[in-house]
Amino acid sequence: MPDLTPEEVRTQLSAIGLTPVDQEDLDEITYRINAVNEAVLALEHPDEDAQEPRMVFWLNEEGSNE
Amino acid sequence: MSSSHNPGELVLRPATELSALLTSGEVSPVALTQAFIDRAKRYARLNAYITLDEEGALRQAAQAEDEIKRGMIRGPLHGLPVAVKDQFDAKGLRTTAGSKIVDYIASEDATAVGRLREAGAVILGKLNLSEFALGGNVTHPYGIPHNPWDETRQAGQSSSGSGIAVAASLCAAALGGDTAGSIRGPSAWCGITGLRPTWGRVSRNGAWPMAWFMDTIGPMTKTVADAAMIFQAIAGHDPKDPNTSSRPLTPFEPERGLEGMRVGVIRESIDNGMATADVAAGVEEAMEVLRGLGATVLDETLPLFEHGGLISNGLADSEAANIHRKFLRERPEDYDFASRRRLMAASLLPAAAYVKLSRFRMLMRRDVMAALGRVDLLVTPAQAEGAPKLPTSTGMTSKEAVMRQYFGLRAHRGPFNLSGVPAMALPIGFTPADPEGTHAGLPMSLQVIGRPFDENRIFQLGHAYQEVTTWHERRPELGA
Repeated sequence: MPDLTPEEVRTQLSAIGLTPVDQEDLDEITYRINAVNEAVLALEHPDEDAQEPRMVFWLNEEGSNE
Repeated sequence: MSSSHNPGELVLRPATELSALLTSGEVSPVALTQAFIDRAKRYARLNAYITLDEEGALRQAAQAEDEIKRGMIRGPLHGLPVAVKDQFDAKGLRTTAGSKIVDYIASEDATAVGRLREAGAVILGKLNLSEFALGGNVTHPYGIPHNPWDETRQAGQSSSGSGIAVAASLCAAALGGDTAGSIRGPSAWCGITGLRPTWGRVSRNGAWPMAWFMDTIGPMTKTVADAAMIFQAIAGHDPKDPNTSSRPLTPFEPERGLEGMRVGVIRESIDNGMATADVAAGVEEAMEVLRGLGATVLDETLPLFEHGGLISNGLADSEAANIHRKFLRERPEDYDFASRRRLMAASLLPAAAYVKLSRFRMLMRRDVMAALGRVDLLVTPAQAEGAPKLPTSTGMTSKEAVMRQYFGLRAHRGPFNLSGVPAMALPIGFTPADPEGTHAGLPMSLQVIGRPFDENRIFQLGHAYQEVTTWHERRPELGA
């Protein structure tokens, strides 16, 4: 997946009402989002699709021995 | 205070020792509170406090003294001077969350703070923290928190003031908050004990949120016994936080030794350069102590360990970006530059990535629970290295730098906040002294991880360890 460019990041931020304060902001935001996207894309696990995201664990486990 | 007690020496003692002296009437709550206030003012350069409530604390202490004299002892915290992270509301005191943006006088106590008050504790004030408890900021509106073991170094984030105040004896005990390591990290670098409770064990009512499904509040103290005492006071169901469990709370009763306890060392946390050689050796030495106490120490594995920082921060930052969306739009310049860049980047995380990270959170939890089914407790280093120098920039000048610095740093604590299990930082030694002479050794720490709602087993290991070691008795030399 190609990295987002700073201008693409600026446009995406603008679409949700956010504005970097300066160019250093924009550059670092770009490094950060590209890093997360690349790292998340690289995550792989054979059981990934079998996992349903659940937010609160103990509510489902109350009363069990877990 | 009895003339046999020197206030300057008393403040260095663990909270449980002070508790015995206070409730027996041997030490005056007013005199002890004054001693902590004097010391907090003397070492104000550490920037531990945002608000030191001298007048209010002395008033509370006078009330405690009166009640104790009349035999109306509320419990072990009666008259004990404590302080709380400025992430939590304390009635009548300013809340800033460590930011330039939030600043109000709280009309109610956060539940955890209120429970300390009900137990008779004296609230000395509000402690410094990373901006909005995010961690990672470079500038600090209320002064840079300095590590008392080496003032040129970081105290850890985000409960930095809590770590400093306990290590430097500026309060008898403190409350911290931990979303992705914010109790365990500062506790490790400041050389104190810090418990992140099971998620759902302590109410989050009245606390500034970072990521609702991982935020916790817990004790930061000189000893494990102190932590157990504070935990007992603050834990339990709260109707104001519907996600608190109603499971009964069992008081911690120390036993001698660790006979029959099975402890698993997560090899991925120390092998292949995941911790410095000093820290790895410190963990191995601590395991020898545990074996000597009767524990069986085994190797354990957590294959997703190295991804703990990515999964934890990816999810937590997305939650935080949502919480901060209005401030980010309206007052971006009032954030520290590092916080602003981080939150704006997190605002762009694709929904598909969030869902994927949520699935990996479940996989991490599955693996952590499986490991905790094979052993009673797991251990890793609480921090992979001693406290680093205070930063002047984020250092994130490339995508690769972000991956290296941001995700890697929190790998050691991420798996466990993702899993909702309790985890405690326990002092296990010191690094060698700095050749340049800025410190005589930096604290090293073990992270002890337990099954959900099994905090007492964590306390059992930590207390037994502290019965035969003295790392927790060392205090930093603060000079004038």
